[in-house]
Amino acid sequence: MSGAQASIAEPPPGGNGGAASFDDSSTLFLVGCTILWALFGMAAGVWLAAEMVWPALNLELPWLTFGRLRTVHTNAVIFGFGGSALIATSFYSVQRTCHCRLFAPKLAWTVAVGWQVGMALVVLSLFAGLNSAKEYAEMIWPLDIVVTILWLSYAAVFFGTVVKRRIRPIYISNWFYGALIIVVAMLHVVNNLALPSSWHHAYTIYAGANDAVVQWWYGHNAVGFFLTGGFLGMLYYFLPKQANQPIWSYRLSIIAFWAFVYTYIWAGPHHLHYNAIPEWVQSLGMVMSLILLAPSWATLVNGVMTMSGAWEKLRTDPSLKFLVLSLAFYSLATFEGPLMAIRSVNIFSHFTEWTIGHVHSGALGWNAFVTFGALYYLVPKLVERELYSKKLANIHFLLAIAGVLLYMIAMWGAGITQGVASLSLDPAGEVKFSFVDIMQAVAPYYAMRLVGGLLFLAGAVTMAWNLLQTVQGAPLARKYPAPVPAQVAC
Amino acid sequence: MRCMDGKLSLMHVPLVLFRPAEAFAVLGRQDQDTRGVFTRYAIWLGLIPPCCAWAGMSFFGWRMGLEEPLPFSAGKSFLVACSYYLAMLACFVAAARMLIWMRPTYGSKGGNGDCYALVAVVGTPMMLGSVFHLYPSVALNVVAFVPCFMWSVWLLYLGIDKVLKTSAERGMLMASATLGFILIALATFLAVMSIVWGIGHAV
Repeated sequence: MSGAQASIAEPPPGGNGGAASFDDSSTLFLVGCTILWALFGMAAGVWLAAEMVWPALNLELPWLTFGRLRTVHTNAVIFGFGGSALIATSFYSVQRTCHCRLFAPKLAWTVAVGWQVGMALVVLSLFAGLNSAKEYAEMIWPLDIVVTILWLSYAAVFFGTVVKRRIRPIYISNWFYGALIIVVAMLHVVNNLALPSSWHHAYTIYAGANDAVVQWWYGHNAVGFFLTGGFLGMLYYFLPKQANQPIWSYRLSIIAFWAFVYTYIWAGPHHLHYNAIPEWVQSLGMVMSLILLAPSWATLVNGVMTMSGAWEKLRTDPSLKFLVLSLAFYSLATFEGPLMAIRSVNIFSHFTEWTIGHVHSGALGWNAFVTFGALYYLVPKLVERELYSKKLANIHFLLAIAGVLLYMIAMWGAGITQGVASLSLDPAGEVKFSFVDIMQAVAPYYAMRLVGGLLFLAGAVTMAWNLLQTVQGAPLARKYPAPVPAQVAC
Repeated sequence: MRCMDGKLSLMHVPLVLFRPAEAFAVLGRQDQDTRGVFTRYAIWLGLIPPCCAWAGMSFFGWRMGLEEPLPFSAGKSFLVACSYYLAMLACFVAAARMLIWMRPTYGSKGGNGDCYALVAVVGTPMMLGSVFHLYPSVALNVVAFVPCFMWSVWLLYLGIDKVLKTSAERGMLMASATLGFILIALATFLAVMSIVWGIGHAV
């Protein structure tokens, strides 16, 4: 075992730099917020899915229209749920892998609370229809500045902790969290450069196709570094920790990290196939997307092999079940993405529900599953109580699998139908089917998606109840009397 | 059922459907042989989808939900059905070979025949669910496919450790890896289909 591998082992509790001296108060707050954002964001998604089946559900209220609620859903789940989870887990793991307390705990609290306030303002502004019209970067310019300041503060806390670490190696999860922080800061600032014309409106400094290229350089890498890299950091800490095994190959994880960082940044143009950008840029995006398979699957192999030997824990550990299945969906999402980046596949899949299915196989099957795994690990540890009910956690597991599979297969069916229909021409060479024809054809799939979303949401509610009961339960010390010294010696 | 031979055959279908735990216990007690799995189970059960698809295409025509059904002549339907059958058998073999390849990693003591038997049993709900091909509306078939697929996934998690003779914990991991493989295979099919459709469209 290399020194770097050994660094995941926590220092002894109560000792100098031990577990007792870690500052986890902001982490616990962020964990609670993560769960609340999950419930709100997923409920918004389910409402949207219901609107696709019964459009009257917008109740003719502007803030419930699909256009507004969709951005609320994406921002709430990506930045509210995902962002809170990433900050929480990075604060927790960076202390333990660096063997020191969090740098500037008050600043950490400012980041934790500020992120929630910032995201709440983003959601309210989107409900109000204030939108910069850039996908996944919809927040208006004053909120862009707020988020930038919060993100830089987050960077200060994280890297400050890494700098004052008490062991030389920097554990691999911190490399991924670090890349997340640096690259997302760069993407956010560059993509949102704009000239304000009022307090809620600004003109982007990029013109025409350049704006599209910058937007998808941002958009794809936000997926890459926020939803993939950041969550890989989470996986690299919680999987070996919970499996009680070192990473199978630490060297492979480092190689995969650098290959991942170098390759991902080029892949954005695959979102602009057959658009008004140079063809070589599109081809470059496609080729780099295919190359991306290698680092993605290197991580997959590392994750699967790390589990080897941790068989016994799977019997009783709900956290590990989620982490293991997240790897299966990670393999799907990272394989399907490059496939869809191939131009001859993309012509069929783009602008169809297949893309929505792909995004959700990643967001639900990978991001949400790995977060659920981390939450089932973290909450009992943070509050020093046993998980309230393993049975409820297993029910959550089954609901989540059923929900994500139903969602994904429904969207595959809808996507294929839309792809075939929208490319079909009549003998005169005109488009054969109208938009209304296509919408009618995919209506059954939308109903299936709603059922899938409801199942997934029901699972998240089950988890929230389970973790709430865990927090309110009796402390471990009261349940199990402290061992007598002789037993400790044994 | 208790006196039923442990070698997989079509006689096991009711047991697989209604008492799967018992079915896996019966199958796990005996080593399965690959040829037997093919001749007594897979090739016959595998006939259901292409036969139903042939009848549905010939009598009702394909429906994407967009226009009048697309009718096929009996000859063309037969060609499509034969291709479908061969593709399914190829997938069956590929899935079993994948299990055989993974077997040492997960400490399975099952033989090659056990891997084929597991794939055959797990695929049973999907084979039976394919009777919906008799009315080849794509939406109806997707709606029917989803619960059948979930049933199959449940059977996979339930039976993999017993049939492949490994611990329940390793079986859970192996089932997750297999599910990952199946999902990737499905996504690959979609991509290949898109490319092939695009070529046909261009022609």
